[in-house]
Amino acid sequence: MKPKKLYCLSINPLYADTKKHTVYSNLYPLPALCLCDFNELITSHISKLSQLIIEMELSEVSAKTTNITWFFEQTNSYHINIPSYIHVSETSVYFSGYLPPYKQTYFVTSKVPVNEILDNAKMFRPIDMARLSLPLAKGMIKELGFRYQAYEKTNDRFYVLDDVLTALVKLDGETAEALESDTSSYLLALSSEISSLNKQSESIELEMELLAKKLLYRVFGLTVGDWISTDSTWRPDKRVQLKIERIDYYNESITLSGPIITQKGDIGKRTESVQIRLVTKNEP
Amino acid sequence: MEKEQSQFKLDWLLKMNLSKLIQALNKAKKLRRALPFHHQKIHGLDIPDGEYPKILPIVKAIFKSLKSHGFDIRISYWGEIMVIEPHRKINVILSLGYFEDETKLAVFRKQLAANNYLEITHNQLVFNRPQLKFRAARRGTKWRVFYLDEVNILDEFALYITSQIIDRTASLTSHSCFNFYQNFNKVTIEDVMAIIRYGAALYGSSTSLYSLVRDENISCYPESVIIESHQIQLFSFNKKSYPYVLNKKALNLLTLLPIEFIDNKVKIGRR
Repeated sequence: MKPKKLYCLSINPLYADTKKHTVYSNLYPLPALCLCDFNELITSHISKLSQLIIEMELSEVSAKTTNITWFFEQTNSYHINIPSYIHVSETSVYFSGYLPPYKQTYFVTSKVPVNEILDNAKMFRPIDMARLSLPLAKGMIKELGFRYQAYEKTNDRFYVLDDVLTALVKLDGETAEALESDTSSYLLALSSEISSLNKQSESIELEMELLAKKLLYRVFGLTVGDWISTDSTWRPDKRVQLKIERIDYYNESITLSGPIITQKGDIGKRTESVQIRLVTKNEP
Repeated sequence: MEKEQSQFKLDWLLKMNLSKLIQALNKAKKLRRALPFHHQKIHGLDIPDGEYPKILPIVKAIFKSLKSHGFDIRISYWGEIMVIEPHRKINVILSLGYFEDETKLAVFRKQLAANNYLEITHNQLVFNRPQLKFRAARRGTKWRVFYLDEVNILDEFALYITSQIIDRTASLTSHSCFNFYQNFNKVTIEDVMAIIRYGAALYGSSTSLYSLVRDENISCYPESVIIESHQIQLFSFNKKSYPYVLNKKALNLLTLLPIEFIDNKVKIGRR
């Protein structure tokens, strides 16, 4: 049997810096430390919640838990029946809670990386390129292509309009005479269109990122925080081991980047990246 | 026959006394919710409500055994349990709950200041075992800790605790230069401030206590407080706060403390 993992977490106030202001530190008593036993019950709960995050495309999920003990220094005792919540995001787990006369959470614990808690997280996952020819993958790749085209279009228009705007601003700045009313209204209209284009391109970028994440999960079964080990894209005879931290889509290829994993099995300092080409060149 | 009767009478008296003590403990439960807001550490029964039926028989057995050895037991309105040794009148503080050794905690706090989280083993911190601890209310004495989940026979355990208390207080003299618990069962300003903070947390801005605590100049270290029938005012060394009107909720909370009003007015200070 494996030894259970007991973690001792530090506490931070959620809203104001109550450690500095004496009035608030009296009013909002903070626990000194939080103890959490990551046994099978709670780890299965965490893995269930993280599954939910991927399926519903969320960034963080919270739920009520009971397996946590808080220590209060004011009463010098462990409080077991404090209402507490578990928060699970893609990469980390933390807890929050409140002392009963209050009705809102006002302290949180520090964050613990998910793959320290889950047992199967420290395994290298394979990337099966053959799965890209599945009908599901093909549809998603096509959709990504459309998004990318729209992104390119808005970007092109943005750059052209930006040139015009800078020219007009230059005209306004370098001539002593005031602009005609028509020209100044052009200036206004241009700047408003540019800002709306900027927003549009940002939203498309976000959509593409989400789609790429979805594709990666549904086709390869990979998510943020997983460890992978593949051939390097840039140097053919080298092997790359990394922990996925970022997923980017650019021009029919997905780039996975993150810190490398050393030979000892720890997370290193340097970052590496791997490119997955979604469309092979000899395809019609 | 007479002897039997007197024995019966004694038993009955003991039972009455015990039930009074337990009643006092139960009564203090309401006030003990305000303890996290208190600046002083107040010992007593720190047990969640669900475990009361499990712990109460142990408390009863210990009280019974202590009484039969001639100890006097006093319970303050906060629920502090003080046991007085019969021969030399040495005060012993008794406490039950989920505690932690303070020197151990200091080590962990130091480590947590540097790291966000630590991985520890189960025997480093004892957090899921109810404990009983006692300490003579003297300078330089130690807490003696006993685990309650190892108790099998109640009477035996109670007798053991009694003998431990007698042993530990045997080396102490009857005279002490400073009495830690001279304010035992008396209302001090810290008690009133704790209730004010608790009220502010409980009722929010619907009582004036909320704004009274946030008056930063005065509420940090007040010297005395004057409570009149419908208002409260805090005094510091050179300042005084505005008189704040107390509504019914706030008054109900404050009257949980045994405050004695003289002509609808009372002044409470540091003693």
